[in-house]
Amino acid sequence: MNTLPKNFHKNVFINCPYDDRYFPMLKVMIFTIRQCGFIPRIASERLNSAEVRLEKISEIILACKYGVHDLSRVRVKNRNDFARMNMPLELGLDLGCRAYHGNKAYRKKQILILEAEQFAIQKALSDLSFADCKTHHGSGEELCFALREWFIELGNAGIPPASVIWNNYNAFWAEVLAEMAELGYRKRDIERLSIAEYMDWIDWEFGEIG
Amino acid sequence: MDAVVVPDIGYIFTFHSQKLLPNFELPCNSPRFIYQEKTIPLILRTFASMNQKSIHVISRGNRWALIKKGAIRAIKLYLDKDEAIQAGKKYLEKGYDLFVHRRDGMVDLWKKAPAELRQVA
Repeated sequence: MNTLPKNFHKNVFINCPYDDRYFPMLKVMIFTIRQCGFIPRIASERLNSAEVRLEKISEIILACKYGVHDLSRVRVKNRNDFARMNMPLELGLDLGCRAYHGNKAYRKKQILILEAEQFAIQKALSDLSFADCKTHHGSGEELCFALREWFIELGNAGIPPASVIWNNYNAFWAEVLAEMAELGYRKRDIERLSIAEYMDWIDWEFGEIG
Repeated sequence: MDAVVVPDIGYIFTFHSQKLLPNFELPCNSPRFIYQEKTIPLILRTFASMNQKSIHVISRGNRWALIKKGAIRAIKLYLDKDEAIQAGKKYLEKGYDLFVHRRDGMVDLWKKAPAELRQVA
């Protein structure tokens, strides 16, 4: 059982909140991963109601050497809110895959944990006190810097500076706006672009993945 | 350069209308895809791919940068976004489109230069 899924060494599993508040961050994350030369994999990359979500996530985890887990929503802001537990659960699956999978290649899985405030995770999940987390303070620009730094720390060379990636990300939106305006899209359509559509524009920008 | 072969991905990229498309045999407009041997492919495009000259107000840390497309360094950094926008508006008369970005990178405002002044990069 030594065969690895296609693009395993380039695939990055994204585990993050899927809500309107987080979408701007998710878009930065997807762009930065592609700009760093890797392939973002996300549960919402395909929509098939017949698919059991947890099975789909497990399949993606198996296909990815890298995992980025944003646990910034483990802390609730309002009294009546519930902490979001999907992200810790999926992190657990990824850590389990790394530890227990029969194929030893999975021991080399690389995992990044993101948090909004420094040391917040250690308070909520003390079992992860060993983990080296990166903080983004809810800023897309800082997320871009944190992700790029992580890829560099893992020994990946030839990645552009974070400022260049951030410039490119801004330029990408100007290009998308200009292109979409030609196609009849209005600003509000662009604001509400779904992740699946956004992924298409990312392919338009970077080329489709084989 | 009509095509770039990227061994890591196994793709042949060509350039068409400033877009990077896989496996199409189309003419090159602008070689903005650079392959560095033994490293991953880089796209060092930085505001260079649109034909129309433009200037952008983008978030940079706690400041706002005024930056031309194709540039890596900002013309100037501002503490106040409105100040950066005012400075950017001066470039409309020089034929540049002005894009004002939000902190999350998306475009908040796109002001086109007067048609007679618009400049192709």
